Amino acid sequence: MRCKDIERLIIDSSEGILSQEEWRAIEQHVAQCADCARFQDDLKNIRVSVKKMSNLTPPHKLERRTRDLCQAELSSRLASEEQRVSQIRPSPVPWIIWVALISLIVFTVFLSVSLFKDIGLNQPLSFESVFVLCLILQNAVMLFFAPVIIRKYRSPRQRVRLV
Amino acid sequence: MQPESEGTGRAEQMTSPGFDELYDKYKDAVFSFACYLTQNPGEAEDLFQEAWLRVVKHLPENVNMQSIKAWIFTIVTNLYRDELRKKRVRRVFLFQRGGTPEFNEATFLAFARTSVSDPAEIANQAEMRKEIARAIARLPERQRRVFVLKEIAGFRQAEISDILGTPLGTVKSLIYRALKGLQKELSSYNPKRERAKCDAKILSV
Repeated sequence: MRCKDIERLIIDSSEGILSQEEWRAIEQHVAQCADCARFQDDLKNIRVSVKKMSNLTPPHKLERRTRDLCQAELSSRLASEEQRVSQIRPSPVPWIIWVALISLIVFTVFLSVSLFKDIGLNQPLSFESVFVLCLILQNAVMLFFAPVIIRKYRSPRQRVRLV
Repeated sequence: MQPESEGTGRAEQMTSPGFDELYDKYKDAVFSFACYLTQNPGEAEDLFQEAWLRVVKHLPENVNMQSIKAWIFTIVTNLYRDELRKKRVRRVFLFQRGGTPEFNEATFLAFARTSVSDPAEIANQAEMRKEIARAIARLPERQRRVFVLKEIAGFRQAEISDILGTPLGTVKSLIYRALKGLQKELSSYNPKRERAKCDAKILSV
């Protein structure tokens, strides 16, 4: 391996990505090549020195000012988000939907009572009874989906991500 | 800010204590990076402040706590690039010459923090800091950026490639050239040799 390749491997060694063969290649080459051995030492010294000196701290005023500005920005963002959520009021369910719902319930109960009376008298199911049964089933399905319709009217138009 | 829940990648929207936690964790690293990039205390302070404001304004919906450091440094790098571009445009219009920013000793001595108390050691560290900072300042722009991200901020080469939007091979090449350049610059500086010279001078009086 050339010196340049070994030097690149030495640099990569800090990432923990070298294979055993590569480590061996470095050790063998460095044992024989003074330039690469010096490069390895110098790199180690540079890294140690840089580690010692890399702790620069911002001045207290700057740190304080930046924190305050960011907090202010954050507060105003949260406040505007909350204001937007509260302004989007859910629209009321139209009264006609309530009327239809109540009418449907009353009609279904009325039909059910009539049908159960017929069944209770142990009479065979006539065409009318079957028709009434179908109507009852239809009404029951519509009543089942009524909460979905109401929820659709109640939920805000825009999707808001709340905290 | 709550840490992300495992596997979902979603995080809560940032709250004030969450921001404080993030700020306290990364403010020194961001400031160091700004200093090494700009080589100027005033510009470093502006860059630091602007970067954090951008962080607060543009925090992504899905915050991955493991990669947020890289994201913050990407913001700093992009802000610095924008500033450089503005300077270049100004230079073109004002017919000025550009170049590598001058090494500003004040930047590194004023903001440095040391944990030792021995005055001789403090002086020694200050001298070493100055020499290394000077050597880093002399590196070309791209090499300096990559070197600082790798050796000072502690990013891996693949992360640096993402931060700078540069191919991995280019990043490796830049790191190699930066380290070779520093080796050459610092080979003439030997703190033990300098100390021995100083001691000899004192003794000869």
